[in-house]
Amino acid sequence: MSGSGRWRRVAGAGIAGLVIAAALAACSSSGSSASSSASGGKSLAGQTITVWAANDPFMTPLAPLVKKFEAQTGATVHFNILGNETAYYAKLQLGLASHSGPDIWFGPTPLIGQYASLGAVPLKSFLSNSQQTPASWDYSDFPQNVTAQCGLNGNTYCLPVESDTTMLYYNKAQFKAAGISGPPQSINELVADAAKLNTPQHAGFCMRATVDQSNYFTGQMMLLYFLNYNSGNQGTFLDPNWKPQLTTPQAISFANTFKKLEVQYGPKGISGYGYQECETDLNQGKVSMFWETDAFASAVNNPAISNQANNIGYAVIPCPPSSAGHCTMGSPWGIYLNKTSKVQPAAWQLMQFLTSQSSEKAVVATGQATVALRKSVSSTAFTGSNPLLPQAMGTAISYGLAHLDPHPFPPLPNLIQLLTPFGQALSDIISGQASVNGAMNQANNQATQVLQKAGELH
Amino acid sequence: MVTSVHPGRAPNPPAAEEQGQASRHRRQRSNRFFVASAMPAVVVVAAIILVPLIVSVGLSFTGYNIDIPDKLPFVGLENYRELVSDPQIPGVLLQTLEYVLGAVVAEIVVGVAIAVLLASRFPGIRPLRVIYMLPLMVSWVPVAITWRALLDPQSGWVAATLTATGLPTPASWLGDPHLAMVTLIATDMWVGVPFIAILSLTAILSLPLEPEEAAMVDGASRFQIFRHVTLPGIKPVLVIAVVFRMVDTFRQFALMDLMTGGGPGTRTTVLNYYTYLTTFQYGQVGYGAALAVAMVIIMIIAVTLVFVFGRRR
Repeated sequence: MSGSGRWRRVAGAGIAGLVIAAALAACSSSGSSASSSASGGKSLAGQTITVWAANDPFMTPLAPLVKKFEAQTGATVHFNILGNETAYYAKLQLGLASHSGPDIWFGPTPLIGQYASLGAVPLKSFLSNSQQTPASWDYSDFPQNVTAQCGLNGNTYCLPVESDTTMLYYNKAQFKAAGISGPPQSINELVADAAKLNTPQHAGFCMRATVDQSNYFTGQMMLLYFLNYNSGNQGTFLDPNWKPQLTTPQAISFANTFKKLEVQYGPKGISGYGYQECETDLNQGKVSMFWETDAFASAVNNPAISNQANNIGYAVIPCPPSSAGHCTMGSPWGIYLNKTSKVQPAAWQLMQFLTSQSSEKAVVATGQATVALRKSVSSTAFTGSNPLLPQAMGTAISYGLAHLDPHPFPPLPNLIQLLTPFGQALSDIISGQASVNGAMNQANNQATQVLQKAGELH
Repeated sequence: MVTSVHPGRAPNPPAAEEQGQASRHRRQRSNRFFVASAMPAVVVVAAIILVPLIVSVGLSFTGYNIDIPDKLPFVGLENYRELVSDPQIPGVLLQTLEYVLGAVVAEIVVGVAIAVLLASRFPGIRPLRVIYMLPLMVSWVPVAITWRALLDPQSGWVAATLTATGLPTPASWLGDPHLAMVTLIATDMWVGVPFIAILSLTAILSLPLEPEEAAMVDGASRFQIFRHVTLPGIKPVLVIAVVFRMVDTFRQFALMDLMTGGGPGTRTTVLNYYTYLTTFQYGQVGYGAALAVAMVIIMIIAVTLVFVFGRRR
């Protein structure tokens, strides 16, 4: 074999490879235009992007979509699912603090203060760069009150990927059997309905009760229906001057209502219940109402998981006058970019891909209703043509998103330490370890100490 | 061979002196060889144990927060002052004592009783000894997850079995503040009792038979034989077993994290779990390090007391 012949064969192979690569790039769909932007083709070949996510129903469907991004751009993506949320938070925090974390990660927006402190990159420069962010990706397609949850101190730190707003799941068949025409329209009706629905066959109401499953989160959701809303509030139960409001008459009224609902109308052993236990009971017809976030909408509607799938209704109790139209609480999950990432432009392309209209549609089509954030997606997802996405589900989610408290969580790095005493108070109340006034008083004092130590309260 | 220097008696012959020196040299070489062989392992173990300990002690004098990783402010004794004034600490310490004492005492009593039974000689005893040791082979995480599922008040086997047999069933084993700690202790026993049993069984089977036979001849009852012959014979092993179990229960984490989350409320939050919450949930690494140092000191005191009282006749 002559030397020149050998080199002709090498060149031929290289040209063939380029042709194949170009053909693959040309086959990419228009919805993913963000991933093959101005540079076109395998623009990210040789780059590796690491993504961390939790084992949540809305994140796991994104993993197969990533293959498409890889094919289009030539990048290699390591999409790592690191266990359930509780385990994930600790691993993520340690990874970021030790500067060994991922290029991009999924995280709840209430922890934005922590993430900003641990190296989340402000995204304004990416969003305003037309070369890195084509107009077709359309950031304005996201509702403003959702993108606001990704904001901190005038900057944007994440792209929203999933809503997580207030939702009341209820068993329509059990409501009908009890002679109740529809879901409750006020907290008083909620209590009255729970009393009627509480029978030997099923409990009337269920809500998270344990601290380890973040009962403070759903507790705050209900608390919003009692407190007087103020646009200057630093958090759900923090007034504009950072003072905790857990001993006000409204907060005490909430705690008494919560106790009544859980202890009198909740399932047996409620003090040991988290969201998993409540969801299981709803799915088995053992509880009539489940106060939670909309993250469970697809699971309770799935006949493979729930034997009550055809009976589940979706509702949000309308906002009372005291809430001034801000009675729902959301903590959308977002995707964040790590300042230590060596492939930030490539990672930014992946972030756009994962939050693009086509990716959202693909995930929503699998029944993950809470991913329908873009107006262009949510307006068409709940027509009823997909049995996994009934119209009532879309109506409830829309109401929740439209009535969000815009500042439910203060942007403190130690947010969990602030909220935990509230959760412990709720747990103590329903397990009988403390009176309502005693528990709320102790929670108020502990929250005050945390804020004083953080320098926010003097 | 006895050697001595006696007036009027000739000193040891030179050959014997040389033999003694050679023997000493051999022993010294053997010791040096032993030290040299063991040194790598000692260095590794020291690094694994001492380095984190030193770093922890150092961190306990800082205000390091995991959410502000690039700052390491020195705060002196501030964390220890906070430890003393922390309103959660008295409850946490009391619950730790409750858990450690409750688990260790229960495991010793039941473990030794089972060991005595397993020491009997009847057909089928050998496989029974092996089967009984199976819980020792399971790590704490699956133990916690499995027992949490078994104890579920709605769908767990324990509730279903009690209901089927007409026995009273609590509303919630893990959510009832009066039952949560007892339930955790019982779960700990599932692994702890076989551990005590196997150590005690080994000690019982290695006891000489003569004292027991002599006691039988003297007319002692089985209980008297156990109390005055068997128990004192296995006491040194029991002391070691108590120390092991005490350290293990002090360090217990999986049961609290996976079964109760430290609840209901803070009912089952023990010192180790509180240290974890402070360090990883609240991000206060400096204060968490101070709690860890305090825990080590408490464990050292407790272990010392066990050895001191264990040596008494």
